[in-house]
Amino acid sequence: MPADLRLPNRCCAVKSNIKWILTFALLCAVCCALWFLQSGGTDEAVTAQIRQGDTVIKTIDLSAVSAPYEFDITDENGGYNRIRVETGSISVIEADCPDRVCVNQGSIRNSMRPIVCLPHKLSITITGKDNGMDAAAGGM
Amino acid sequence: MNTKKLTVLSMLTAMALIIFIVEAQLPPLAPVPGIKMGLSNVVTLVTLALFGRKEAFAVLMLRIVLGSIFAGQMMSFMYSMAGGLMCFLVMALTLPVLKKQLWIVSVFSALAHNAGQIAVAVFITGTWQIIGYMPILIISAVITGAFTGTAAGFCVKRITAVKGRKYR
Repeated sequence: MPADLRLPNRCCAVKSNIKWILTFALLCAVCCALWFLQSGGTDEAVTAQIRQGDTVIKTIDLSAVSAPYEFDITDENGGYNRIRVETGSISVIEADCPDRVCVNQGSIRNSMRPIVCLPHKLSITITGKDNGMDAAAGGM
Repeated sequence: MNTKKLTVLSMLTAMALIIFIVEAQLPPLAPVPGIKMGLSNVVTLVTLALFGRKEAFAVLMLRIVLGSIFAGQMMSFMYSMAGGLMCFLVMALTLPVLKKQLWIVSVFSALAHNAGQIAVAVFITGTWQIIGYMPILIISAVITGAFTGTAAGFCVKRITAVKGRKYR
């Protein structure tokens, strides 16, 4: 009976699928929790570090910024990122990279997550004055 | 390698390439570096399931090299290559175990792909904090991987229904 033979097989496959779906859902839930735990950031983190490749090209004390200003950073291939610095926050407002993920990330003030422009090898990281980053990373 | 196989593999490469280039034109789905749908992985999965590892590897490598020439620049080649290699490795290892459930193979390979890309991003920018994006990339890998894997599963089912089990 082919129909009889196929029935338990299908049932097994469905069960196995559900097992995997639950596993992946659990993974997603854990990641969600991690994501929101991370989003808090630190309160007194005020220093922005701009890196191009593996060198730090600029360090800005964001709490000491009195008036907003903008400047461009160009990479070796002529691509640019226009960076806007305000009191306590920093953002990329314009760029000529293909995807513009760096612009869409908006401004960051105390985020644990850096702004990155992968095509231009650029990254902007917020670091706490008292090196709070390392303590938070140890807790992860 | 007979002519028919050569032709079919070329067609698969062309399909993967077109999907890759069209997808690169779409605006980014989320303001997070590295998130994309990875639709061209459907073709890699189908090739792996119908032909085998060597053939799938050839299709994947050709797609990445040609795709970077047509749609990207040097940087995106590095990310695609790292992601693609990790993705293929995991795919080739998990397929024999999970032959019936292509979507699970796809989820695992998507996870590996994102892990590989993040590793290269950390290496290139020298900013380890990029790892902070890993949770959201894992979630996106599960969703997009399940989607592309299900699509690949349907393709394999239809093709084998028409053409029989093996192409070789």
